[in-house]
Amino acid sequence: MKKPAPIKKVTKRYIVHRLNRLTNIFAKASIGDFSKDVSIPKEEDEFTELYVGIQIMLEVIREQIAILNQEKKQLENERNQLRTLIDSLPVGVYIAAIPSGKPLLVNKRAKELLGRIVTTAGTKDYTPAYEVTQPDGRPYPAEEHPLAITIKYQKPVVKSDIIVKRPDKKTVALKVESAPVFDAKGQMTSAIAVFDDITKEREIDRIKTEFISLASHQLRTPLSTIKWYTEILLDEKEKLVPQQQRYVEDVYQSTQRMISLVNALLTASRLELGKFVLNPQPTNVITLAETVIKEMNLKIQAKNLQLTTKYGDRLTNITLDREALLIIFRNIVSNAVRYTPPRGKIAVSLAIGKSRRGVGEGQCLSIKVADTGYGIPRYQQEKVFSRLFRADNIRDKNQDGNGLGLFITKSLVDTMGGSLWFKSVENKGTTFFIYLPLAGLAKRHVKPS
Amino acid sequence: MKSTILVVEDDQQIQRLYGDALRKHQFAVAAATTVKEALAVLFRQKIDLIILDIMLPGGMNGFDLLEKVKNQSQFAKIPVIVLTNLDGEEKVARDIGVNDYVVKANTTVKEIIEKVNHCLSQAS
Repeated sequence: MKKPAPIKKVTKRYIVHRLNRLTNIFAKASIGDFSKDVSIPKEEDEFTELYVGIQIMLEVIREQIAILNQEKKQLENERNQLRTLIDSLPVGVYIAAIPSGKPLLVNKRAKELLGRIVTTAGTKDYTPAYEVTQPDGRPYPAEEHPLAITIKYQKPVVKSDIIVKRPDKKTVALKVESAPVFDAKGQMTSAIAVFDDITKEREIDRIKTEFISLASHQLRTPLSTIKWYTEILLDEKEKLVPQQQRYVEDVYQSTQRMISLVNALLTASRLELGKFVLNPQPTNVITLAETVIKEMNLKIQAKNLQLTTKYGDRLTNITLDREALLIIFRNIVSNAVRYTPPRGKIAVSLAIGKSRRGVGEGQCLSIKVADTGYGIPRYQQEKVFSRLFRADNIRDKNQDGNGLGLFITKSLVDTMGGSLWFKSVENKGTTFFIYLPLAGLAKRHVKPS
Repeated sequence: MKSTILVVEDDQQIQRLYGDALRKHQFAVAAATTVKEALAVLFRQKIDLIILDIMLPGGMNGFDLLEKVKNQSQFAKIPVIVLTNLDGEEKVARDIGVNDYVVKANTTVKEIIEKVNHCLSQAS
């Protein structure tokens, strides 16, 4: 008689037999195939629950895979749509890897605008086939490219002074807007530049500016005649009856205002055309400031303003462009006078000091003009330096600003390599700060374009 | 004796105005509208000071006259005041040797007379 198998052995064989039913399923699952069902035996035992559990799991997995596949299809579809969209955009799009700046994606328009893009992702040295210059032809400093700034400081940048010389020798003027791309954790993953061809706009702008320049210049001659003849009449004003005197005085004042406007238009157009040539010569800055304050004296007294000055040392012999500094002083001081209500205060300070806000190296001429005026509304502060800006809160108070003063001042300060900013609180006052590098004042020369 | 001022200016109204203002201040006035006419005047009579416009008709401009005056020993000492509405040319004019450079729109008749007197007093 055969000895019955020991109970342990029987159990083991039973378990192995039951588990074998699953071997095939797991083998297939391991290669990503979840299609096979578990065949659940009729007789119920301890394994039935396991089989059912695995079968449910398989079904859930199949369902998830189906969803994923559908999403994948949808994503592919969306990616294709996006790709087509990017390629049919009327602006150039360039997605750059960080930190190299190598192109990850360049759309059709970008290739048309930039010409050939010689480089492939993965190559060590990335040199584009096109050359980037400033409007006056000088090379564009690599660190000032919008993408370079975006990659370095992780912030959006807009620039419209970029000239691209393509490999086919054609040049295009571009307006470039770049922005960083972040992942969910806030890490920068790439940078995008979008750019537009503004060659035509620039040309129209140049023609417009030249027209203004020519027209303004032509206006000056008849204005000079009117001004001089009224001056001669006013020299002998005792020969006129009081009413006539007033009329002639008004003609004189209006002509003077017209001349100031024409002068401002000329300066603005010369700056825009790059034809403002700095002519530095040794200058007593205090005398220059006093000249401007003297010019404003009548208006200061009429409004009962209290103007104080504070001059530091070593201001009497600085090499700089007198005309440029005179225009800067006139604009900043006359704004303070114009936009400060009667009995207000204006403080003018000049000093030689250390460089601020990255203005050159070494020493700076610092100009500070503080007033207790109407101030500039917060929501308009960004626009202050744009052409024809007039703040909303002074439109009804004053009519004789021409909206060019701060535009000119900012352009001049930039031309001199300096920096200009302000602090302003509505109804409390405004303070303008100007820093001009002493070294730059003598050396800088703006070449006519 | 009266000093004689040569006014080289093509704008008739401004020419007349300079003439009136200068004569009122006891100067004698000679007028020219082109460089050629100005040179004819210079060779014909003694001139003490030249008031010179830059943009002139007739093919030559104020700089041409300024160069001729400053390069001819008989005229080189005559003071020249440029009175123009071009304001980007001061450096060029100073380099050639102009005594003063004034933008018309930014000056007054009074200032012009002062400058004429100042230049004449320095020349004598």
